[in-house]
Amino acid sequence: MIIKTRNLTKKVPSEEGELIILNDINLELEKEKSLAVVGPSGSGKSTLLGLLAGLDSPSSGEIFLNDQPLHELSEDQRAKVRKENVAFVFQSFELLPGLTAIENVMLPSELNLDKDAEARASEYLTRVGLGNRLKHYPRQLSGGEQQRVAIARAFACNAKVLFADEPTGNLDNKTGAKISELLFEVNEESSNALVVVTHDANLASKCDNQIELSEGLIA
Amino acid sequence: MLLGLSLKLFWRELKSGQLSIMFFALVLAVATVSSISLFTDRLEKALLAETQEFLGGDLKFESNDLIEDEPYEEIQKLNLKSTEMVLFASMLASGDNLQLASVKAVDQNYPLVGGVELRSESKNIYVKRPPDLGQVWLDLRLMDILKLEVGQTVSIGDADFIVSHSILSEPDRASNSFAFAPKAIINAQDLEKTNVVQPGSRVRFSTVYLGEKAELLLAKNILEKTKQPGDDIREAQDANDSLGKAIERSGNFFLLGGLLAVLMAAFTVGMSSQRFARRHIEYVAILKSLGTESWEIRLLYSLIFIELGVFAIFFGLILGWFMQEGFTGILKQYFPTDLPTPGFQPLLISSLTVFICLIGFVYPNLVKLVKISPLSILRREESKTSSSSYLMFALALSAMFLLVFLYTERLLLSSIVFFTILFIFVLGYGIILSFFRSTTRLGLGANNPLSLAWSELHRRKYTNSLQVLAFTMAIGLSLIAFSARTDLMSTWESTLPPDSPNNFLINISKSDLNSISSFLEENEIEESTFYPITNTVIIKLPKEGEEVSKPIDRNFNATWSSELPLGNTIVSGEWFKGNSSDGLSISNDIAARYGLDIGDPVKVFFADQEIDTYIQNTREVNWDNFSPNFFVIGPPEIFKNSQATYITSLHVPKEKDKVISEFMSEFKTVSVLSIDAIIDQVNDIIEQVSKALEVILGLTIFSAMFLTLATIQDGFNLRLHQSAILRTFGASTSLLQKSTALEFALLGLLAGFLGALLAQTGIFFLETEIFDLEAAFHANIWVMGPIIGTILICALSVILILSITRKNPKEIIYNS
Ligand SMILES: Nc1ncnc2c1ncn2[C@@H]1O[C@H](COP(=O)(O)OP(=O)(O)O)[C@@H](O)[C@H]1O
Ligand SMILES: [Mg+2]
Repeated sequence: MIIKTRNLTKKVPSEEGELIILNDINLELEKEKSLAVVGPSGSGKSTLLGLLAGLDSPSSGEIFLNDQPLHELSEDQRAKVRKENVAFVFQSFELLPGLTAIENVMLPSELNLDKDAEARASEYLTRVGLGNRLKHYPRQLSGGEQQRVAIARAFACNAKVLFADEPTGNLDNKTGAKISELLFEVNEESSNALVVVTHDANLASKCDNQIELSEGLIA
Repeated sequence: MLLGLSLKLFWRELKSGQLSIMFFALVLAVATVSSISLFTDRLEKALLAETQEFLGGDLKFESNDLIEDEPYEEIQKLNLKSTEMVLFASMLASGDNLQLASVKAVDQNYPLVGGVELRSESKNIYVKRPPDLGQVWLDLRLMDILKLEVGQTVSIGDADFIVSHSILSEPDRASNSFAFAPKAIINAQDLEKTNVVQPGSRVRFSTVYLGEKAELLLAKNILEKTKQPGDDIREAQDANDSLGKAIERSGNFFLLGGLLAVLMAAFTVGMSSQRFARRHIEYVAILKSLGTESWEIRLLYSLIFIELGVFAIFFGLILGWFMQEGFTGILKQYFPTDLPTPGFQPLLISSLTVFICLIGFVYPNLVKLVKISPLSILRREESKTSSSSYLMFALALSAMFLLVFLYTERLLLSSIVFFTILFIFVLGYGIILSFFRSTTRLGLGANNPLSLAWSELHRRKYTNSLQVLAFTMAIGLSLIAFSARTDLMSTWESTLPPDSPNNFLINISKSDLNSISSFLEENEIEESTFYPITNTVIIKLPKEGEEVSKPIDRNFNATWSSELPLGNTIVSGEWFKGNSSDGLSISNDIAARYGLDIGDPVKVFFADQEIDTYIQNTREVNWDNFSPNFFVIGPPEIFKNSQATYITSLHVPKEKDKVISEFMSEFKTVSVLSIDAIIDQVNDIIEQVSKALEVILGLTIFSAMFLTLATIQDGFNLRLHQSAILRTFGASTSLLQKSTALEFALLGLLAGFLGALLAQTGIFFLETEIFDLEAAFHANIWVMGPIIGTILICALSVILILSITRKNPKEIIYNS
């Protein structure tokens, strides 16, 4: 199992008492498999993804990522787990505006102290079809191109799991379809697992497993 | 509609704390400005009252003769109060004891301002009337010498008087001729029976006027016309004594403090409003996409800031009033009169300050904000700054100059502050841009804190240079305030060393010189130079081509010496050479007031002689040191035949006070003037001013903190977001903390150096141009600046970085 949760619950304090965002989630995902998370807006999909990736900590319950008990780890320990295991693609790309495409892709390698960061970044960008846009800044790229840079960056993470939160949500259908294709290619080539939140039925159907969230519960 | 919306927005922003720094910075600025200007306003009024009392009124005319009938009647028609006095020197006798004293005969209107503090038996009283007929008030020292008690009899000339009171203090001490001698005051109606005043005897007639400015001017013009050589016209505002100097100087200190606070507030507002505008981009874009027009948005935001301004003025004024009461409380005891109520001007100035700050430092950011295209909802990044950044700079610079000028009302001081800051800005900008000119290598260098910090410094060089300049302001201005409190104050204090002269011996005849010297030696009192004095009148002679020669309206006590007196410095021309028998040295004040230049021919009258000569040099006279000072000095050759008396100054330690009384009874014709009281007063003022300055220093440091915080906050959301993304990919918080701390430490170090440079430059000009002090190198500033800069800015940034770690990256990315 690359991901395993038991009774995973997330609550936040709110003005009308505690708000339960995720309630008692149990799920498992095997290595190199893909999982689609679907559900209406506000059902807790992003929250779940954040917890699985170790970006956030649960209120109760257990999460194991590559056998590491995330729920027991401090923020710094989780950062280390993320460095070794996690790649992330966001709906709004989240590239650093001050860095060029290649510099954005180099980031994970730099954090891992890899020597050949530049060569690899250039390779990944070529792989996603942006070999001729290495020195461009995010603002000089279209949405689809920015998301491709983000996918190249995810490639560079050399991760065990790739998380993607509505990766096609900000893109038109045609570009979106290309991006989903790329995601599965990455998934295949780097033999990692993929967890993707999506509203795109087509994308969801390509995944090995699917779960549907509704008001914090697996439907 | 817009007003309601603006109020709602303003209130929301204020409550959520987004406007706090700006608001507090403005409140602090208003409080500082209003308290200081309220206070200096009252201080100035009190000073005028003080000098008025010193003179006995607003305008004083002294003459060897009574004023002629015609001008006298003309003046009587004016709406002025006046009192007439007759001054003369006379021997007072009580039994076998004799003493020369100056006697003042005063009329029913005496005193015009203030009152006379008297003591009878053991009670002190404060009266506003002349002595009763047949009675005399005597100086304490005079009673001591004559061995008199209150109630006993003393004779002046042919008349006997009963000593009703001793004089503790009197107004009207600023008389030219006999002021130095111990004094007796009698009623003018008793004057005749003394038979002292005879034709040909040395008498001064003096009239003091009190009234409105315009009327006083008329009276002055009439007196100018009737004035003879030897007559003297004085006005309350040209007081040039040590006390006036001390008060003027402390006024400068306060002014400086206020100025620093205002500048800091302006920059804080500038920094915070930039951040404010950035946060509102989306809001404006949405409003625009909903069809709101540009002018409405402009109006909306202008209203928000006007509301902020009004709010800040309101609270600032309240705070300022209380602070001002505090300052006043501190200095109150040094003014005999109650402090006058303050005028309206300070309120006006602080309100203007706020609006100049807002227009100069906020408006440019609003202009940029209003220009945002509705498309930026779709693309989150900022629109590029364009030509408007020039507008912003120009506006901010003119606002800064305007603020400084508005506040100091002095072109010189304003220009000094303005150009010093401008120079440092250009320098700092240049250093940063050339230091971090190129990006050294590809990538963010996120493998270790040092390389990450280094690469960030290169990438952010434009925003960083702005931040460094703001830090520089905060550090530099605080250092100036600190230095004003410590170095400038102590330099000032040391201008009044504890052994400075506190007694003058006046009216010493040549034959007494040797015996006085040996008297001083016996009593172990150090003697200093004996200056000969003679009374002179100087007339400016016409140069070729000119017609009239206008007599200078004063008589001067001139001295002669072959050496430049201590504490004097030549301003132009040269000191007398060898046995020169020609030329005069005059003080630069006198030169300026009467339009005398080097080489101008003059005629000098003294004793019964008359000599043609010229102006050889002008001197700067040091009024701080309480040594005898002379407006006019000649070479000994000119005056060698004149009949001189001598003057000297002594430092008599407190415990040797008795020696003075002994001296006076041994040398009856010598007058002794003790200025212990004045010295104490000046020392007290210095001490109290430094206390008040501490408060102002505290305020300045507070403002500096606000500025630093606002600066660090600026662009902080961007940093926060970036670090959240880095953390997603496994960057540890310690890497991010260390690199941010390193980055800010380096910026702080640079800002510390620039701040020290700013402070040193500013202080140099303050010392030389404003405070008349010797310029000095302030090593402590150069040490403190970089250290404080590095530590303080690093520490503040760490506090903010810690807020990064408290939030998890998911929250930051998803909620921005
Ligand atoms: N930090 C938070 N504080 C309060 N409410 C939150 C917080 N995070 C998420 N929520 C709420 O939890 C619910 C689930 O959010 P999210 O996981 O973003 O849903 P989804 O991604 O499925 O649209 C939403 O109603 C959201 O408003
Ligand atoms: Mg979501």
